[in-house]
Amino acid sequence: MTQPADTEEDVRTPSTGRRAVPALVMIALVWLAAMALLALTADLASPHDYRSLDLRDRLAPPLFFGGSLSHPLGTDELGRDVMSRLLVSIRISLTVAFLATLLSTLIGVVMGFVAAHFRGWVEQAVLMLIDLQAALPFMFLALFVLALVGNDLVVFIILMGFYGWERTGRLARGLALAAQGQTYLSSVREIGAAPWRVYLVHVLPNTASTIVVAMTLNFPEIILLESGLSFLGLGVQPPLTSLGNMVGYGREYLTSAAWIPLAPSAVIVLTTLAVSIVGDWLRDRLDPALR
Amino acid sequence: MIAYAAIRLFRAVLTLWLLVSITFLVMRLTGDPALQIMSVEAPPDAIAAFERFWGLDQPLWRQYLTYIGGLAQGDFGVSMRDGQSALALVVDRVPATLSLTVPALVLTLLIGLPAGVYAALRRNTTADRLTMMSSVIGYTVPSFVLALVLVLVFAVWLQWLPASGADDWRGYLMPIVTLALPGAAVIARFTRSAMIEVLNQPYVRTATGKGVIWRRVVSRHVLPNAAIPTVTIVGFMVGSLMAGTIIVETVFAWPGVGQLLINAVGNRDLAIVQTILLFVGICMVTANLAVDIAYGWIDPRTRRRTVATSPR
Repeated sequence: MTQPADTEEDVRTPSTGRRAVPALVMIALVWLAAMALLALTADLASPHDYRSLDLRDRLAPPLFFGGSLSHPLGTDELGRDVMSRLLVSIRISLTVAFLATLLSTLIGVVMGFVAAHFRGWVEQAVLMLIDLQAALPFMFLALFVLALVGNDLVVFIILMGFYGWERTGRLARGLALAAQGQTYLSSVREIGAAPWRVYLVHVLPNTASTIVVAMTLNFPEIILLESGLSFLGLGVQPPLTSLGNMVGYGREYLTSAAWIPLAPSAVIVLTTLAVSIVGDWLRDRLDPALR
Repeated sequence: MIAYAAIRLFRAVLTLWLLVSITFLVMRLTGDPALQIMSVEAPPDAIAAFERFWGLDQPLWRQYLTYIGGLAQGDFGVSMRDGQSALALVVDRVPATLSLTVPALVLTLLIGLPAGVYAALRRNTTADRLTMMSSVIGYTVPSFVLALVLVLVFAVWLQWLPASGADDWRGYLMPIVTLALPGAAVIARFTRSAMIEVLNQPYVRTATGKGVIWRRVVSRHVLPNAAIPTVTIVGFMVGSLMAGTIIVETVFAWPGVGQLLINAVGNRDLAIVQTILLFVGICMVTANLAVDIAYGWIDPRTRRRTVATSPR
């Protein structure tokens, strides 16, 4: 889902304060920590190899629906363990989303700072690019590039890394322009600091909290985009697997073996929900600029 | 107002030109089109003949002019599969897609706007929190999951609705709802913020202070002013609706543009993918232009800061 750039920044109430219930935020944080842990330990935690077939034990139901302990979430149409595939999918989906968010933030911050530093035609050019990116739903752009260059994991991650850079870029430019008016920056410049030093050592740390909040907005949207493309069979390619991938291939078994598409669906929903809850809470707590 | 509209129009045309030019450049720079269509082992003179036929032996700037000229005359290239005009193939699918997106946009507004207004007027009550919580859930649930759950409940368990196809009106219900709900969630959240912003304005305090009844304050002062920023988001909704059709049409086997696009990407049929990309670009730029002009018309203040769009 493409969320408009100016919704959250512009129309923000001055005094909402804490809106999210802290208990809910705690649950969200615990869920995210668990996901991160599972992503890191996917090899150790999974009961089977995620690729190993067992054709005699296909479409076995999950534990409490008549299944056995050796396949807690059942097996799929080729007898592969759904639990193991789920853990590997969590690892791949979270890694893609994490790397892509970092890349998108990097592109956005660099473009925003460059625009704010050079002004003039450089700034106009950056703003044109931002407008162009904002005018086009990212999904179509992604499909165009995938049709053009084909797909492998590195290309895919770089492509996802362009998602949302225009929002971060606009934000970073605004923050840098605002910072330029502050006295500490003119002092730093008086002393003779080089531009890269000004931006890296002074502007960036002073704007970091706002940028981190923007990242929490981007992260769940990249998970949704990645899983959407993988669901369509155009994202992460087999034999690798991702959450959207599992839902896409498991869709045919919705009536006969609903656990195959539903288990990864639940993980996607809970994870994006958790990041959004934490992001909202962070924005209300940390970031007076966006209030 | 005319100067304002003219500047907006100029920017829209500039954006479209950029889109077309970048599309052209990316397509020419990412690979030899001859080698993508013919096999790598094709004899060199066959490749040379192919390049001569499609004008690929010309200098880049001349290819660019030919390309722009073709687009201006409605020549978007031909499908690599069957040689049909890409434009005709896409136009053929548009009605099926519109039959989902137009009702979905209406439904989005019918759910989103009242929910946002309601939540804002009952700010910080349980009703408000429940509405906002549903809104967060509404846009964090991916549409393919929403679609699968709807199919599971209404087609598999209850057997009220068909799982796919459009034999009668019941076939339209699930695709339209799947398309509309995420947008409604975004609109509800946005409308609520816009309302609260206006509710905090001094003129609202003045109106209540001088004894205007609350219902009248809301209908005369709050709603019209909150409507101004809400108009902008409808332009963005058009974009996310179009992106939504890609997934919805795949899940419900709907013969629209989204399904055509997915098949074309799978076959790497570039002419079709590029036509759809430019189509979407034209729709988005037009929608944003319409929103900008409507915005300037509703709110005279925006007309004055036209040239430099203020940094946000």
